[in-house]
Amino acid sequence: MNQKILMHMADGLISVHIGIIFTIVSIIMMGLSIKKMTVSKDESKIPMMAVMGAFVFAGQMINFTIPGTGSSGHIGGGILLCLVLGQYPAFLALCSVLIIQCLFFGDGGLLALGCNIFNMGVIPCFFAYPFIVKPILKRTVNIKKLAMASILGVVVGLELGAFGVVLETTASGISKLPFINFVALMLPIHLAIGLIEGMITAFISIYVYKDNPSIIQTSLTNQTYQGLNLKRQLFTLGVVALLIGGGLSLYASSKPDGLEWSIFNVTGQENIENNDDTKDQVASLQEKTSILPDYHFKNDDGMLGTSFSGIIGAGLTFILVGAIGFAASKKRHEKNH
Amino acid sequence: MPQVKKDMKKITKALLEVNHIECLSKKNSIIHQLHPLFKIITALIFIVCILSASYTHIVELCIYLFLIFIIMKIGQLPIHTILSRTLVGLPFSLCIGLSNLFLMKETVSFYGLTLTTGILSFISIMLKTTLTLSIVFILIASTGFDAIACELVHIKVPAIFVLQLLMTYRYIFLLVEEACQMSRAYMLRNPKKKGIEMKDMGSFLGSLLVRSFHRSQEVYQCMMTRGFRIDAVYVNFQHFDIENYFLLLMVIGFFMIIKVVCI
Repeated sequence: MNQKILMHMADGLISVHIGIIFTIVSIIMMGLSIKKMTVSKDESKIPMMAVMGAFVFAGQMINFTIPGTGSSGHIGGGILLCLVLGQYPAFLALCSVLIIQCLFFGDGGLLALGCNIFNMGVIPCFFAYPFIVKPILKRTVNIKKLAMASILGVVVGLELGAFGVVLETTASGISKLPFINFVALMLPIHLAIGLIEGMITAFISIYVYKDNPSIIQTSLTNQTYQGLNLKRQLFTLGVVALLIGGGLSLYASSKPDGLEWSIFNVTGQENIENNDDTKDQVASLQEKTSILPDYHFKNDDGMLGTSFSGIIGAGLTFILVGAIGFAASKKRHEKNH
Repeated sequence: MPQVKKDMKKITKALLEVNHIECLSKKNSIIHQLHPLFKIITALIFIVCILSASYTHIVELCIYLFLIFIIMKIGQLPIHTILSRTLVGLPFSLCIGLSNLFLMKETVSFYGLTLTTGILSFISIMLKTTLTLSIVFILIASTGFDAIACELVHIKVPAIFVLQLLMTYRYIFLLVEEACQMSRAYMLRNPKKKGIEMKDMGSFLGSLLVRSFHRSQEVYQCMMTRGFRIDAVYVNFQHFDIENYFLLLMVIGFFMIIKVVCI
C-alpha cells in the first residue's frame, strides 16, 4: 500500500462536520495564497505553477524500484514544489493536483477535499517548508543542506499529514479503531514512505541545484513572497489551529461522551442481548455515534408524527413550488427567445 | 513484467480513462444539459445526505444507490465503468471497515436478522465510499472539467486559480507523455534492468523537472506575446437562470423527504 492510498481520505470515512471544518481551513489558506499571488502580480508564476503541478502528476506515475525490497515507490511532491516555486504558488499547484486527482482518479472525495488539501498541501507548504526546510537553507544552500532539508521536510510533512488523517478519521467517529493503535499503525508506515520519498526529493533537488541553481535559490530568496513575516505566519496558523480546535471541540460537545468515546471506549464492549429493549439500545447507540445528531429524530417521545409530517410537508412544498417555478420560468424563458 | 512496462501500461490506461471521461461529458442527455453549478451543488447536497446517514440506515443508503443507478441511466453513463472506477478509493475504506467489523461486537436486530453493529458499519462504510465516489464520477462525466472549473469563477474563486487549474489539466497529458518517452529511452539504454533504479531517479525526475521548468517559461513568453494580462483574464461561465433555483428547491425537498422517510 502506498502513500497515495493511505493519505487520500475518502468521503465515506469523514463526517459532515469534519469535512466542512477542513474545507473552511483549506479555503482560508487558498485565499491567503491567492492574495499573495495577486499582490505580487507575478504572472510568470501561473504557467509555472500549472506545469509544475502537471510534473507532480507525471512524476507520481513513474515508479522506481527500492533496492533490496522488491517494492516500488514514487515522489510525493509537496516539498519539491515548495523548493522550486516557493510556498504560496506551490500550495496552489498542489490544490489543483488534488482537485484533478479527486475528480478524475477517485483519489479522495469531494467533501473530503478540504481534509486532503490540509493534509497534503497546508502541512507541507505551511508547516514543514517554512519551519524546517527554509531555516536549514537560510544561510547557505549546498548539497548537504539541501539533502538534509529535503529528507527532514518530507518526513515531517508526511508524518504530520498521516497524523492529520488519523485525527480527522477518529474525530469523524466512523472508525472504531482506537486512536493510539491507529497512530501506531499509520506513523511508522509513513516514516518508511517519508524516508524514501525524502531521499528521492533530495536526489531531485540536488540534480536541479547542480543543473540550474537559480531555480531553487530564486524561490528561497524571492522577496515577492516575503511580505508575510514569521509573526504574521504564526498568527495565521494560530487562527487556523483555533478554527480546527474550536470546530472539533464543538463537535465533541455535541456528542454526550465527547471525543474520548471514540478514542478510548471502542474495544471490549459487552454483547447486548437481543431482547425487546434492543431497539432502544440501538437508538441510544445510534444517537451516540450518529454523524449529524441534529438530523436524528427520536421515535420514542411522541414527537415523531409531528416532525415527520412537518418535514415531509416542507419537502413536498419545496418540490411543488420548485416545479411550478421551474415550469413558469422555463416557459417565460422560451417565450423571450 | 518489468516495472517500467507495468508503469507504461498503467499510465496509458490512466490517460485513456481521463480521455474516456471527457468523451462521456460530450453526450447530450438531460443530465448533461443541466447547469454545471446546479450539478455541483446537487452533488454536494447528495454527498452530505449520504454521509449524514447513520450506519444503521443501510436502507437509506440503498435508496441512494438506486437513485445513482437512475441518474446514470438517464445520463446515458456506463454503470459498469463508473462503479469499477470507484474501486480505486476502496482499499483504505476497506481497512477501516474491516477494523470496525472486528471491534464493534454489539448484536442488533436488523429487519429480523441478528447482526453485529460491526457488519452494519462495514457495509455502511463501503456503500458510502462507493456512492460518494460514483457521484464525483457522474458529476465529471456529465459536466466536463472545463465547465466545472469555469463555474468556480461563478462562486467567486479568483480567475488566477481557475486559470492555473485549467492549465495544469492541459499540461498533464504533455508531461506524462514526456515522462513516458524518458522511461522508454531509459529502458532501451538499460535492457537488463527491471525498472528505473533509485540511484537514477534523481537525474531522471530532475531532468524532467528542469525540462518542465523551461517549458513553463516558454509558455509564459507565448502568453505574453499574445497579450496576456492577469487583470484581463476572463473565464467563461454560464448564467445561472432562475429556473435552476427552483430545481435546487425541488432537489432539497426530495432529499428532505428521503431523509425523513428513512429515519
